[in-house]
Amino acid sequence: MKKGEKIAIVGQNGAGKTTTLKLILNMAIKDSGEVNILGQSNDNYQLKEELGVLFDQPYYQEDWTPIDIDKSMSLFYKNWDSAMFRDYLSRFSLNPKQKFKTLSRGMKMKLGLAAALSHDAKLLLLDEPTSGLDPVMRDEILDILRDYITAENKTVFFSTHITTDLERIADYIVYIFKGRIIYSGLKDELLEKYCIIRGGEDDLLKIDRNILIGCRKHYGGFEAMIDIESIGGLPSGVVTEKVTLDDIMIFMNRKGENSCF
Amino acid sequence: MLLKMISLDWRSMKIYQIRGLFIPLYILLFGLYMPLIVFPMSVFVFLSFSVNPFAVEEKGELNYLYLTLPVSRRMIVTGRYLLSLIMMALGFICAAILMPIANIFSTSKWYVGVKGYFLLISACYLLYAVLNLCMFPILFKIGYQKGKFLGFYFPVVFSTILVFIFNMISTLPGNETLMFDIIMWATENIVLVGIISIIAATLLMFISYSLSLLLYSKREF
Repeated sequence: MKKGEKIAIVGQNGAGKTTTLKLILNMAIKDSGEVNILGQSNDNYQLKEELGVLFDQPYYQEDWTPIDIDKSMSLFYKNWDSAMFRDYLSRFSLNPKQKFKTLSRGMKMKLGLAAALSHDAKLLLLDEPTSGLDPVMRDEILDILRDYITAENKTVFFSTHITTDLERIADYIVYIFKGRIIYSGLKDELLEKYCIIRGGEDDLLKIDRNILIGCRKHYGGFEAMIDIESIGGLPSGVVTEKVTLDDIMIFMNRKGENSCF
Repeated sequence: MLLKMISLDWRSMKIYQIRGLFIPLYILLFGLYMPLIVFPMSVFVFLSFSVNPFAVEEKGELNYLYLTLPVSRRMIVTGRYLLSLIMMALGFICAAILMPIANIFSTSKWYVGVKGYFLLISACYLLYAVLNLCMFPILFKIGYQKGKFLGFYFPVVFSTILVFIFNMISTLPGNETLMFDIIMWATENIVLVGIISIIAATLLMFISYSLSLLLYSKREF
């Protein structure tokens, strides 16, 4: 990752997104290899000073108020900015004296985000920050994030399986499938790498099955994903369409099933 | 940084802090029955109180918070042990204040003297170390819910086995007065028994701490 990049790690549930983030944070024990963050091994715990972390929910003692969180976090982060934290609380309409356990899920996420953004972290690590939120709250959280990373030129590494989030924030995508990296590069290049093809049953018989990456048969026809380089030589009845990230995930998951044959 | 960890653990016990104020009253009530019990009772209650960070940690999944902070796992373990030792010291101070008060009002009077206090403190330290060894490494490994059962279960099983073995040995021919002899020897060598207890307790604490470090460093979240 380079400074200022916004990288999303995507993949279906169980693909290894959260495990990757936990490995970065040393919460999971690696079998082999090395993890380097900001040019240093992640064994150096002091590096976490530079990280802003938010999981799919923030983890605080349930009787803590935002004031308690402010006091507790200020103990550990040299660059903790209480004024900034209270400013975020105000912007997010959070009561500084309200107990954590009484907050709604969306408010908890905003509180976690306020804490993650208040110590001048160089790298934000976010694990599915919008999962489980309603569309309005999701939109709000993404706006906050986008404003922060754009204004401060921060580096962001976040996992998600909500593809609309990617369009709002990510420049780069790391696509994980069953623990392996399938693609790592610009988001737009991934969308240009594949396409969807649709045709009748007769067309399906004329296509080399090896070029199909996942295939779905329906009444009177089929649809499948192919690599854009394999587009030449398709039967004339076959139509092509642009692929979405959802399509890529769905068809990658069907890869190898050969359910059309 | 260790002080910060202790502070964080203490803050995480927010809900229990008020309850902690009732501990001396609770101990005093037992002390009115028998002042001698004040010391072991105080150490046991304060040790149990120091286990609360594990409870709130599990309930709020606070390991996810701790491991994102710029602290090492060693610091988390060390901070928890230091907080527990502070609690033990508070237990001793509390007991030292409450025992004479309990002695005034109790019908059962105890005048243990300086050597007696030394033995009480060293024996209670040993009790604390045994309980700590049985509980803390397990709590660091598997968390509070599962660990608290095993942590209390092990000392009970262990002490039952010890009593059983002692009874077996004392019933052997020639050992009829073994218990009496031990008590007599300990009475005549109070300082030595106290020193042995302190050394044994410190050794147990070291084993407990090392075990906790090892288990927590390999724990996955």
